[in-house]
Amino acid sequence: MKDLHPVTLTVNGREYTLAVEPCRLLVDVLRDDFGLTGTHIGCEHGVCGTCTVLLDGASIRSCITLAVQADGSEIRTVEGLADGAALHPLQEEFWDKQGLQCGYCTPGMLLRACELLEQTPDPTAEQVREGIASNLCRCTGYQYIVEAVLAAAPRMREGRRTPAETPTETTGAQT
Amino acid sequence: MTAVERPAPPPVRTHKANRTWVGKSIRKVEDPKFLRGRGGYIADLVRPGMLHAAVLRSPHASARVRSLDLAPALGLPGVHAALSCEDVDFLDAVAGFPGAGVAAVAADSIEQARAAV
Repeated sequence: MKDLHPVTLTVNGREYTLAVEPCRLLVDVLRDDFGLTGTHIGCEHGVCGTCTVLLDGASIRSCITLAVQADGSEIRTVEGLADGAALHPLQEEFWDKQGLQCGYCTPGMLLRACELLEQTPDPTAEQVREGIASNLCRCTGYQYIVEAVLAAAPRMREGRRTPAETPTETTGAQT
Repeated sequence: MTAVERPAPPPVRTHKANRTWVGKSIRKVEDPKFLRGRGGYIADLVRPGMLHAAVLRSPHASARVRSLDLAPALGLPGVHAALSCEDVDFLDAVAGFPGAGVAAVAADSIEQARAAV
């Protein structure tokens, strides 16, 4: 018999209860059990940052976190950033400032930036650079990501959303 | 010789603000799906009966594989295949960098595959 542990996770406001083997990684549970494939796996050893999610508001590497360690916690993934049709200010500014190309690092980058702006609502460019040093991006050269985070900062401070300015989303091919 | 009447050339728009496309930063149409975590990468694909792979990687900067015994991996639960450079060409007998793949396993679950490498 396999050794299964009951785990309760609240992911993006939705509560999940499941029995997991102790070796199951949080990222695999998010992706394979909950179908939340927005959280990506990159280096698989906590270096690249693409698997970053927020656990009770703090960024963690879900590829080196066991699902049982996250028992009872609230998790936020990239799927929980947008408010329905309205993108989160960070998503908007990443889009507007060309803060992504292939998009693979983007979910982790967005969640790390989200935490950064919670902790440092009015950061300098230097603080943003330091803050996202935990996350690797091989496309953008970081400059546009820094610009996007800086542009999102005042919008997050004011807590305002401008859905009227949001261009219509074009749905691309999905699996 | 008759003078040909030419239409007036379009006005030269030099000021950046007057340009329609050139020099403008355009929002890419495919970005929202990536920003929402719906990019749809190969690792996101799920197919009936799909197996999961894990790769054994060299910890050495430069090394040669002298021998490789795949039997223990094949004996583990859930493992369907274990491969070396003799089977496929994406694995190396000479590992030229740390992280070079030297063996690979396919299993029912990713955990079983990782346990076997």
